[in-house]
Amino acid sequence: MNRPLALSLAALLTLPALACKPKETAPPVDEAAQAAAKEAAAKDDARKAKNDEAAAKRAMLAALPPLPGVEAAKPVKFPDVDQSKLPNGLEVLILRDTETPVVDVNLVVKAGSIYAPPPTPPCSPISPPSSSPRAPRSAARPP
Amino acid sequence: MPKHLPYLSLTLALLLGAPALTRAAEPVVPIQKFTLDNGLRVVLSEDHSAPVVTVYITYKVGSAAEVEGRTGFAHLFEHMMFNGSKNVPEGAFGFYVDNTGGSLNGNTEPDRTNYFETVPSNFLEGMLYLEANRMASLVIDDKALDNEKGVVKEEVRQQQENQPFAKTILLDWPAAAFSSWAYSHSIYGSMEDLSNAPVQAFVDFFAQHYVPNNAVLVLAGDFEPARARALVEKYFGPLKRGPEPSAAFPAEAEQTEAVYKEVSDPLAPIPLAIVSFDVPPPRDPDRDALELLATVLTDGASARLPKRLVDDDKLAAAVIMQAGFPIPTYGPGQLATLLIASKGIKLADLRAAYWDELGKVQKLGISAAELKRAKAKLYKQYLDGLATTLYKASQLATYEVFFGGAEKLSGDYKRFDKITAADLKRVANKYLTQARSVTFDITPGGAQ
Repeated sequence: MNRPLALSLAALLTLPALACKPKETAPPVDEAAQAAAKEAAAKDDARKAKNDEAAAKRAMLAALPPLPGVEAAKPVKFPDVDQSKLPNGLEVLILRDTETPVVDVNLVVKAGSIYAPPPTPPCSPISPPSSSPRAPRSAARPP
Repeated sequence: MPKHLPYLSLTLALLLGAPALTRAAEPVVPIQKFTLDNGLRVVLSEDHSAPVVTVYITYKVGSAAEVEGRTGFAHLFEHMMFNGSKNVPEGAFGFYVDNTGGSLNGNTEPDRTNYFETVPSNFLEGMLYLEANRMASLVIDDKALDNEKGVVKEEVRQQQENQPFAKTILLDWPAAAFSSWAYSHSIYGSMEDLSNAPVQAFVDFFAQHYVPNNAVLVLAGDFEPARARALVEKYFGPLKRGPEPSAAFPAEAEQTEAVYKEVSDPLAPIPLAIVSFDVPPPRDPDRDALELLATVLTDGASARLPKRLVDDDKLAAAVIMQAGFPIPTYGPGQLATLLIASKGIKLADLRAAYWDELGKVQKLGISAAELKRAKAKLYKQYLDGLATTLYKASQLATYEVFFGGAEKLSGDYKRFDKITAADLKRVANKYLTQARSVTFDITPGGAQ
């Protein structure tokens, strides 16, 4: 066999070998990634199972028979309010409730935080002009 | 009626001084009582001020009824009872009550376990149905038990293991303050006991204690008594009587030597001292005097202990004195003082000032004005206790189970009227002594 032919044959033989090489040495399996994917799938399954269980429970609860003997709701009888006004303008509301010998006295003044003057900003939002007599910050620092 | 008349009559009343200066009309808590053939005691208290009703059941079983190796059962059942029963599947109890717009809860104590719902009164029958069902046929199997054991373990981690002072208050302090095993073990019990016990042990516990003849049912609110009675008979009447319950409370040995313990608590933000004393059961005349004394000493900013320890000497951030702390017992009890130190204050100095104040009471007694103010506070507490159907039902159950009958609630504040300043001085000397005291100094620090 002459040398160039031998080389060609060798090259031919080598090519399939080279072509097959990637198959034989497939990139190393990333076990951590596989485990993570498996765990994620398991979590997903568990979440689905939990959701299914919750949905089944909601469906069960929605299908429950009504409680026995439910009657129409009774009206709330709010005590009569006796309303008057003093000559000085004070409004007085009296509700009588003798269930226990306790009396609540509430004084409601129609003034709240919305009537408070707006707070003075702690510092001006606009920088002082450069001619301000205020010392520059750096100069105020101790040596 | 002219609109100005109520105002005028109120003014006249104030000017004449009549109702303002004397005690007002006696508040009466109306009750009707009956007992079913199966032993269930029932108390009905009508109150039509609003269309709501509270259904309240007390089972006379708590952690004190447990036996060694089987602790935590009473509290576990407080959870189990909201699980399924024969006709009410798991989750349905809460669902039904939620849908009425009402509320429910339960709580466990050493001597009892309570369950209650407050709902619009048109749902009364439904609540009786739910309560009777779980008393008759609670589902106790591996699944339900495992689920609730998990919930209880999480509750213990949250409430006992991860709250400042809680481990000492719930575990170490009762172990030192009570001599009987029944009262000294934790209400939560041992998680190991819960894990180890077979299903049958839970079934037996339920069969022994969750029976009609060991329960009191109270209905307070808007109902017509004859109809309410018929409904109670309809739902609870078919239930079978169980074993006869024991009426005995644990016996406590008299303490004769001071107990002192130091604890480091990694969760504690500030130092706290607990000083507790053995005291008689609730409603014992000496216990009443001690509760009145605790009110004299701590209730209100001008009371002796807050004034001295918090305002004047600035030793404490707060001081609390309470009988039945942190959870009441109905046999022999404890009167505990919690002294919460101010920043930088040593607990020993704070305790010294506390004992100095107790010494003054023991030697010189208290003033008539202090006694009058404390009685007024207890009277107002009594009235506040009648303000809602839930408060009333809870108290009627307590009175029916432990205090000789629900009928004794009306006017019961009067038992404080006859207590004198001399009584307070006497009980201070008899009970609030070093020899009867248990002290825990809890300081921040230690491993978490």
